[in-house]
Amino acid sequence: MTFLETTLLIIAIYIVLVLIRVILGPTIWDRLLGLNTISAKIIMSIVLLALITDQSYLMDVALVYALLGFIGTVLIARFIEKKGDLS
Amino acid sequence: MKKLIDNLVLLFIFTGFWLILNESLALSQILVGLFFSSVALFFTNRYLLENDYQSAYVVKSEVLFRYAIYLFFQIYRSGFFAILKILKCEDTVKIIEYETCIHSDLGICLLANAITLTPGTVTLGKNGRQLKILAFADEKSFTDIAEGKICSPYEMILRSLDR
Amino acid sequence: MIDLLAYLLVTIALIFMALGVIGLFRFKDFYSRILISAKIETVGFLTIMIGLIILSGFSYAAMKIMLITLLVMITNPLSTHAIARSAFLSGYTINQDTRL
Repeated sequence: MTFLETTLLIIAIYIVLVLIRVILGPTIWDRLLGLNTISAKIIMSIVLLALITDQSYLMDVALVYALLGFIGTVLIARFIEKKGDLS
Repeated sequence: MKKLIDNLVLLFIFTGFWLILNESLALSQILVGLFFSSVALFFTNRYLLENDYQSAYVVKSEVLFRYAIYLFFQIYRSGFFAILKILKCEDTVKIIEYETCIHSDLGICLLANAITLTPGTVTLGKNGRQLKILAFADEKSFTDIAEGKICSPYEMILRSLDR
Repeated sequence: MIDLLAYLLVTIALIFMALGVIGLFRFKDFYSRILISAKIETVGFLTIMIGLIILSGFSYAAMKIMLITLLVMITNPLSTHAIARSAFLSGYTINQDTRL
């Protein structure tokens, strides 16, 4: 295994650990925080995968994932803050 | 005349983004990029913003560069303090009310973003010049300044955005 | 030689992220968790991306990584702020007893 593949494996272990926090999390905001953390880690793993397989168009997927993760987090946070009234 | 130069600078930045995303430097790509950047710039100015692009986002590039350098070192400095917090398991927090000495709206937004970006402090709310900051109980850098009425080093750099 | 520097940076970033995950489990209150864990993410993300930029040299891939880093650096504080503000406005108070 090369160095980058080991890094990818360790980040995958982190994602599983944060997922336990998401499942345990007492409040809804803990789960949201875990979701945000996982989204940042997935961006890192996509960039690592693009470097390992040497296909630089995979970076575009990371760019789109960053935008979509941001919009999703903000939308759910506002949805809870307004108690479901988004008008 | 100044407006035209500003628009041209933005056009070149957008074309640079297009070329990076397409990974080529061919002449046809540059022409297509220039066309799409001018269309994007025109529609943003015409329909999405109430004022002009330049009057809404007037940021001097020199100020932005100095601010980014300062922020970079600040992030790492408070990152190491955050590690000490984790190892010692200190988890008492408090909410600070803080009034900035910046007057421009964009400057206050940049300051709030920077406060959230450095580990250890999160901005909760903004009402005019009043900021609500969530921080650890032994965070000193904002309460000391609020008593002495002198700007923190963050704001000294951003103050030059005021007009 | 320059590869060694990149490997060192990536390793430091992995240590930072490990501490962030530990902090996520060690603190009992939501507010202290959001102060520590989401923000350690910023340091880890910046470090690992600088390492990967050095590793891939001067190419289009490096510039794309720079674009992604810029985007995440702008949007990550905004989403953290949205979560914290949502908890604050919904009446979550400090030192509430959280069951685990």
